[in-house]
Amino acid sequence: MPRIKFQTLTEQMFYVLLSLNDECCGIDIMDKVSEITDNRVKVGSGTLYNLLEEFLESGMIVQTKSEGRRRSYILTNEGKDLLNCEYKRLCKQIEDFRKYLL
Amino acid sequence: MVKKNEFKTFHKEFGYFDRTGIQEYLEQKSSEGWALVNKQFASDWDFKRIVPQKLHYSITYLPQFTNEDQFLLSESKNEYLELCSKSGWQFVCAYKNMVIFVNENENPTPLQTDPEAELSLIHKSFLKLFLPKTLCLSAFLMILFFDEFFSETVSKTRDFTLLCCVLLSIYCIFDLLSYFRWRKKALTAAASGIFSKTWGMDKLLSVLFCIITILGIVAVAVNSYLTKNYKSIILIGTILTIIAIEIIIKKIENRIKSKWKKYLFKFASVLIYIALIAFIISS
Repeated sequence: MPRIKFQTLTEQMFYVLLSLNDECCGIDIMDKVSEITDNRVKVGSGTLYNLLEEFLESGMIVQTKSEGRRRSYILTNEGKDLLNCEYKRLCKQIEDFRKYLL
Repeated sequence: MVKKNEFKTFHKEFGYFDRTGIQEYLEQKSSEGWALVNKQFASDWDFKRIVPQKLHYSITYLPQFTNEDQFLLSESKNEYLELCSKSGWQFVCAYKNMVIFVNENENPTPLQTDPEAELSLIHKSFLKLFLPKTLCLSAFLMILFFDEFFSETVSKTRDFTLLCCVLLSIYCIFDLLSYFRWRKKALTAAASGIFSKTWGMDKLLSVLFCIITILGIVAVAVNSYLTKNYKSIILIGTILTIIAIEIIIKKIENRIKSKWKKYLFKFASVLIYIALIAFIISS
């Protein structure tokens, strides 16, 4: 079943949003995601650029400054709500797993 | 000074969105000692001689742009290229809204790591670039078909025209259906995090398209001969000549490195066009 936009987040969407809790520019996001996940998750440059455009368009993040060719972004309240929803969904999944398999 | 053997144009047909097919082709060419430098037309690939090596290519689509100039002049281009170069992806060229990158690293992080995001890019590009064109062509064909079919005066090439309309309509429908069929499968795979091989240009469709084009030209030629009215054949001949001149001019232009020589060449090509138009008007 195809995913409905932003109803659930892919792993990469989740970590890109998470790394934008503090103001960050595109290049730093790539490093930050690798750092948070101990290199488990890597976001491709093309995917990151596309995600940033989509998050900006839907108001999940805002651009804070533009220095030369670098633009910085930060999470908005809508973005934080989206992350919280995803967190609750993942918690529910863990709870279900524990209930049935542990 | 550009040596003759250093650059070569290869002709290879691919569907516009056949990302995986194009990647495989470019990687094979690099192992044969050819690196892509430019893409001019739908099926012309300009290469330069290199030492045979394993290069990785990646193709991406930017639906916010409709042609390469829009992308190359955009403000966000530098940010995008910087992001890509961070993981070793170097910009090669852009064609319409397709952007091609190369990477010399052994195991580079792919440019696209999220299949859903990639599908969204392809779909937006499809809706923006291809769907309107196909729908307009279909509408035009329908009008032509019904106009010819219900016309009181039956032209001598009526059957030819009707056949061309039907074949072209079939081509348009198959083209659209093949995309949506592929997209459905790719969406399901992407939800599980799997990238799907892109759909290639159906060989049957390519052959069908060639047959239709030849039939169309023959129909016009026969009609001109039977009615002794050569205006339409002159028109088609002119269009084909302009296309041929345009292709030759582009090919020569891409080989010229010096800026002023390029300007001089552009000026000369404008003069050729003016001469051609003057010839058409006078004849």
